[in-house]
Amino acid sequence: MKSVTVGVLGAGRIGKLRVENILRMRGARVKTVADPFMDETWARDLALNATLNPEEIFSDPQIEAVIICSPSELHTEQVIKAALSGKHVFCEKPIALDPDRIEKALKIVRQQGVKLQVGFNRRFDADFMSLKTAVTSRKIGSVHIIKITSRDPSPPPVEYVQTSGGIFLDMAIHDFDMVRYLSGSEVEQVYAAGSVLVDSAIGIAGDVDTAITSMRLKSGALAVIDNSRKAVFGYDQRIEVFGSRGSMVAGNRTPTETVLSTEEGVVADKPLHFFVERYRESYKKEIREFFKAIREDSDPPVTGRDGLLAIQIGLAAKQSLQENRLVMLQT
Amino acid sequence: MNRRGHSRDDRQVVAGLIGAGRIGKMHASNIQLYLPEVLLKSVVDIDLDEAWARKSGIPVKSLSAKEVYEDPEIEAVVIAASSTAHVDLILGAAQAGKHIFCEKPVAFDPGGVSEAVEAARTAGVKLQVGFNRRFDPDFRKVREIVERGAVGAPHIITITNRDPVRPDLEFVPKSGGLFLDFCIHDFDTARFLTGSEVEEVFAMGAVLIDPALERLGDIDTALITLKMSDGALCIIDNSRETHYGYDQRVEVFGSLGSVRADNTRPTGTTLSTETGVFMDKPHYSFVERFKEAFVQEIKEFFDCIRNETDPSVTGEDAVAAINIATAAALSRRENKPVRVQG
Repeated sequence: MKSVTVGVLGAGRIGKLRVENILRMRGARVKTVADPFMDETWARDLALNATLNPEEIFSDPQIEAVIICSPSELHTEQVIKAALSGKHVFCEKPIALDPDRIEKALKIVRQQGVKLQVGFNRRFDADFMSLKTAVTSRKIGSVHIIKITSRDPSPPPVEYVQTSGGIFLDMAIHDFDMVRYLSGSEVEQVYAAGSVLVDSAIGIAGDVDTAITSMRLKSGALAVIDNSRKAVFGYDQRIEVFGSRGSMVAGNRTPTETVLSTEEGVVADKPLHFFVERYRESYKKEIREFFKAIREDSDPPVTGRDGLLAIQIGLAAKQSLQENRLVMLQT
Repeated sequence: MNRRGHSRDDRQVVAGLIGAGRIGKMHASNIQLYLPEVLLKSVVDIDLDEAWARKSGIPVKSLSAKEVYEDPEIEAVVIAASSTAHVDLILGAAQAGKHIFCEKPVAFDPGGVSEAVEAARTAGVKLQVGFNRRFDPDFRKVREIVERGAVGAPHIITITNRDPVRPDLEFVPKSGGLFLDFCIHDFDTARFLTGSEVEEVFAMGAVLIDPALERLGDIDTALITLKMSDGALCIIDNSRETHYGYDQRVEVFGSLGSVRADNTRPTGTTLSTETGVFMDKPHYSFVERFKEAFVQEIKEFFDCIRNETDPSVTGEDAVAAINIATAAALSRRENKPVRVQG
């Protein structure tokens, strides 16, 4: 198998996970990892070629593909730089919060003829892929209602909320993509209701911590997402697709399947704690698919356009909440 | 009269049944089977199922509700006639001084419901509306858990309410439509589970099952967002046809955790074979799923009469539910959030 030579930009929590995953993968080689705040101990332990300067990656002719795991505000610029250096790009979501900036980056990616995959890892989760298969094989008929429950175990720091674009753009964005992925249709109308019930500081920062977003899709189906920044029992990730011939549910995953029954009651494990645990395998699979697309010169399974459309839905939801009305999406 | 030979000191309540369709028959049978302290004396139905009536052994078959109202022996009536007739029947019963159990919806408009509730109040008779789900052991347990604070302050309430099979097209024009006929239960459930009021509604509807419903001005699929007075959000999803049974689930997610009532099934068996793992489908319809709830609600109604207490489901609950349903219908028509009156 031809090996893809990779540079990784950003070695924070998710960047480290990416690097460690790729190191164990066949068909890819991490040549350089760049982060201005590099964790030197971590880099040394893994014997990585580490640098503080991302330019070393862009200017390295051996590097075919870059994985962008840097802070979100750097994404657009790095996607453009990578494309202009003729490198394929895998970029964590979002490419940008501003659709114009995303379109600008996508245009350059297109002109350069490089591949771009956006990090909607949940599309590669085995449970959700199974839901998708049930939809495409029409096992549950045509889709009528998609219901997504997506709740974090604890809220992020308020400073994060101030720059992240808020709950619809940093959190529900995955769910918006999931609605598109599972339905195979596009969102036409969005209505969002929100509340500040978890942390008043989030409200002061201009965001909500609890939200319900309903959508009407081009296919006629309806979809709803309920989000909370804090589920005390862990990461609550459930999806149901209900169709003309039945329904299919993906429930929470738990660390173990044990059930303890005593005089006090019946106790099962709480859901896996957070995204790193819950979506562990999906992070590996999406990157493998990215490398496969490079090796086989095929289209990546998640495109820049997918990244753009999810942002547009997120912005529509935000607008809907602010103006308390139904918002139509231009597609 | 003592049909089953029991000997209780409690005084007996004599009752009349108005409307002996599917629901009316069920109430009759529940009264006869489980409430020895109640005598079902009369039944009224313009299109009475004679065979059923004979078998049920109800002594008097009346031709009109008026006859029941004029019977001094009858203290209470169970109204299970067509929804369009409910208000007039309640007005008549109240005027005659009979206690009233009435199926939902009381009326298709808030004015009608208020008129009926007011008439019962003025006459000093009890009025209980058939929000049977409040008496379901699972829903009740969820409410108890929420009430004792075990999940903290409610943040997100999710209600799934889906029928096994679409209604007869003949029924649709008389039903009041999806929101009044079907979702009215969910509106009441949202209030019941949280103990708070609904302030604003946004409803999205679709016709995905049967285009004939669209011609009749109704919908078969809906998503309804409710904003509650304490800031909590509620989402209701509805479908008229599941194919796999009566899909009834509720969840209250709060600051300290979450409590959920899943579908109940005829049996709890699990079959595992090479083809897969198989469980029973949910109960087929409301008759099976809420069997116990129907018994408990009618029992509470007659207990209230015998003990001279007030029913836990009040006329105000009916008014609140119709106001939410009316707002939902308006929201869907105008595609915008609507504040709930009241």
